[in-house]
Amino acid sequence: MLSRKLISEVLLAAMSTGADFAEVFLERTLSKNIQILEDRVHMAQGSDSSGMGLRLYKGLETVYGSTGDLSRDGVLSLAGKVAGALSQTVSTPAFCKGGLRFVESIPFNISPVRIVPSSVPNKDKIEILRMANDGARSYDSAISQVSVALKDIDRSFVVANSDGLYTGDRQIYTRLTVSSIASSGTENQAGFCGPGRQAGLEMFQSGIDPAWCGREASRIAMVNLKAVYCKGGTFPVAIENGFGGVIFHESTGHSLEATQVAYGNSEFCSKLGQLVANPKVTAIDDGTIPGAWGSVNIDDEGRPGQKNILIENGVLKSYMIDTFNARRMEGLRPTGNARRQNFQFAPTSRMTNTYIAPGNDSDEDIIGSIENGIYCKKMGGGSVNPITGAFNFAVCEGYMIRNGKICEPVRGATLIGKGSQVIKDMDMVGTKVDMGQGMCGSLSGSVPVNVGQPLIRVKKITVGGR
Amino acid sequence: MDFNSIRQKLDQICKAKGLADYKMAYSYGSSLTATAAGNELTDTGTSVASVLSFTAILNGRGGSAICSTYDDESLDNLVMDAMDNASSIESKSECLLFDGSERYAELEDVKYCEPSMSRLVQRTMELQTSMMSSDDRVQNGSQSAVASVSGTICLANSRGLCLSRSYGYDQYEMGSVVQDGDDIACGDEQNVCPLEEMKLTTCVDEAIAKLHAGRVGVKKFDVVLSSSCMRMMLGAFLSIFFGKNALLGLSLYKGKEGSAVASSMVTLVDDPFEPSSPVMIHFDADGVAAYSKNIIENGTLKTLLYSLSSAKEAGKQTTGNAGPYLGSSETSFFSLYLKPGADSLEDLFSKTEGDAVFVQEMKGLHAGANAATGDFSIECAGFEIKDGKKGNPVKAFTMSGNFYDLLKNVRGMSDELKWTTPSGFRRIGSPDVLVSGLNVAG
Repeated sequence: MLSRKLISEVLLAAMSTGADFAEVFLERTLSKNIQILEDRVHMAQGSDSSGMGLRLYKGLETVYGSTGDLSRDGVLSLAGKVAGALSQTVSTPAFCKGGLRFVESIPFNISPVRIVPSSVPNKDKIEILRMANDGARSYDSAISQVSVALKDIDRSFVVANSDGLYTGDRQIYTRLTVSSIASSGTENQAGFCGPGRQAGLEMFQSGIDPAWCGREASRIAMVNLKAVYCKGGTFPVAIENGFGGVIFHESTGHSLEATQVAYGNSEFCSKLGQLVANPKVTAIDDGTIPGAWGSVNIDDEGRPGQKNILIENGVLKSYMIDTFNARRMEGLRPTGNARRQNFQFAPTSRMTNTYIAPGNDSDEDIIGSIENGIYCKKMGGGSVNPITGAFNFAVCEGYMIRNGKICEPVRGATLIGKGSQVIKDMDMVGTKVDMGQGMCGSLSGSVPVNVGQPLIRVKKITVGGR
Repeated sequence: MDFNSIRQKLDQICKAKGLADYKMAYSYGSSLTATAAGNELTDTGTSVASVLSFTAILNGRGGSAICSTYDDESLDNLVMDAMDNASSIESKSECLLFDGSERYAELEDVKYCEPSMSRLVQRTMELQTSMMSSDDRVQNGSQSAVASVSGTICLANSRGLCLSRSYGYDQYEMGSVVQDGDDIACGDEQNVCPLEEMKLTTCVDEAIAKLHAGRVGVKKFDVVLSSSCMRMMLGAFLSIFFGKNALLGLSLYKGKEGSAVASSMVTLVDDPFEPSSPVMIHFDADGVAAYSKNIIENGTLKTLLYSLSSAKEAGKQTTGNAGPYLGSSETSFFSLYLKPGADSLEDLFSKTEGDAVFVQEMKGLHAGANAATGDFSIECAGFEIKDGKKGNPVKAFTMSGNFYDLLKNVRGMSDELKWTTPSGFRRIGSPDVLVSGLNVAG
């Protein structure tokens, strides 16, 4: 990548029009994506992408630029452009007077990798894909199509800024995704399983069985093929652990990101210390879980990942904050949540591994408490408008609950509501936390996140159906 | 580095490695952006990026690799990776090279001049000021963003094909937040037009109209889908019109070409040269000449969309719809739109029967719409339609149904065709659409 001397020159040039802070982000990412479709290797694609992001602050104004041209001329040209984009106040950066000295920091690695995927030949990865494909295909003769993909990402970056920080990290992600289609001849139904870790291929030797993933995707597709359409209305729901945690992610998590809060665009503005959720709810964003899909040794501003208690026994304790938005949030500090898809995006506050902590209610009590409602065993993705709090997410595998018993499967359900209300209505919280993996899209692009929770009950929510 | 230099280097590397069949695509783009919130400029951005995609073909199977640096070592690694990937492919689909079409549409050169950042900032602040001052209920969370987008796509292969096309346009997006008492509502608008023509039109009025929304209940309703919602639906389900997906059993339109699949009011078009498009291009990712075609014509499925590869597999002719240009391409589209009708929006309201809703906002289609099944269940907001007229706002309801059925149940189209802002060379257009019998709950 770039020498420290050139990075220093870039920072100096970028700050020449009065910026009070500048940051260089250098990145190189190798990735490989291999897919099996119709029982054959259908696609294999590699990528080697590198570039630089350059960010300036001047008070509450920020400029961001990026380039894939890492030549001296390329990076200095970018520095000139971002400097020119600031409202101009020609000045000499403070560090020029004493000289910019970088103090290097090497982060502690919480996610060691034993088998780096980018060093493994395709044929070894294809073996893993075949195990998943065979698992999916062999589940039932009604499985008409299976798509299996293995994607690995090897991301190295350096962050250097005008405060003298010089650090970097290497993040390695591996994810297997299986999509199964079950067909009755006149209609299709789908199932999905997609475990991912911040790890290498060793994850398939300990913990994740590709064949099981295939069977699980096909099992869900078959359940949906036999399911009846869910009836719309307002019901109590029990939402299972794992990816069920998307309910907190969408309903509340996004609204606690400084990207929203700093501009007054959140239901939870100015509510620190207040009871905002059911007292049974404690919610945490923890970027320090070893090997977890959303973990960070350091965030994309070079700050160590943190475990942040967002809500404790219903009381709002913290937001998720990046350095720029911290300037707008008096008295609050960055929380290690600055993330970005790649160098083309300015980082901003994002979730890492976000989950509802275990409570005291047994699964049997939660299901048994519902007279007429829905058990959401597997959830899909969702979205939220943090300004109004209106959120939605899809149920991928659901069942009716009648008189405290799980009954027939239902399909086509979507849950919608208002974030500040639904976390008050989470009135039972189970004991067994599990996580699920997803890609979260927002201002700074798509980043890997974990969502999680134990089984919970929401006493009342709008269910879309037929 | 310019594309011709990259191409020459790649030709030399391939020759040295004995690779005879290959193709490449190179994309170069730059953008400027400015964003304002409340009464201040919050951020500006500048981006320059290029990407090179290379596909090696071994025994008729293509493997691809992508890079963004073009020194000798990087290009050598690119070819090696693509060859390694090609040797792994077992697909029945052949990766085909194309010599070039006999004729390509003659398009005018794109004469786009990137504005200065100061001009972009000035227009952003003018838009933002107009929004903030338009009503006392407009809040500081309201934002305006203006962008200049330009670039070039180049395509070449080992048969001597070499094509390129540039684009450049300005676009803006405004999001309003209004508050009345404890109630908050949002509106948005976006458009592609020259900087001078950008202006606030509907987003504040739209947000104010949504304030103090009620609930809609649970029922089957006639639904008028706004243009923006119908465009979102088309975007979520358009892969059912891809020939490759039909071959894979992921579209129920397999073998249905020539059959009635929609209301006779439905004509779905893909036109690379739709006159209002800011991103016209005369070739697809195979290098085949792009042309306009009706996918559905008066309710009858005329053709699915094919690349060279999927057309050969299906025993059809390519429709010039290979894409996207970079990476492992299969099927794409250009300006895809539902042909408008003759009614005004008010006419559509008056044609509804019984209680009905006007759906003006949808969220969560990425999760609530399943292209493999056609099913959808989506969060919505909009307005009641009472006695054939637009009534009170309603919020937080879901609309559920099946997209295949929706196309059969279209009962009216408005006369105004509106478009999404482009994504690459692609965009989607639709008028407002009246559909009968959708399930609504909220």
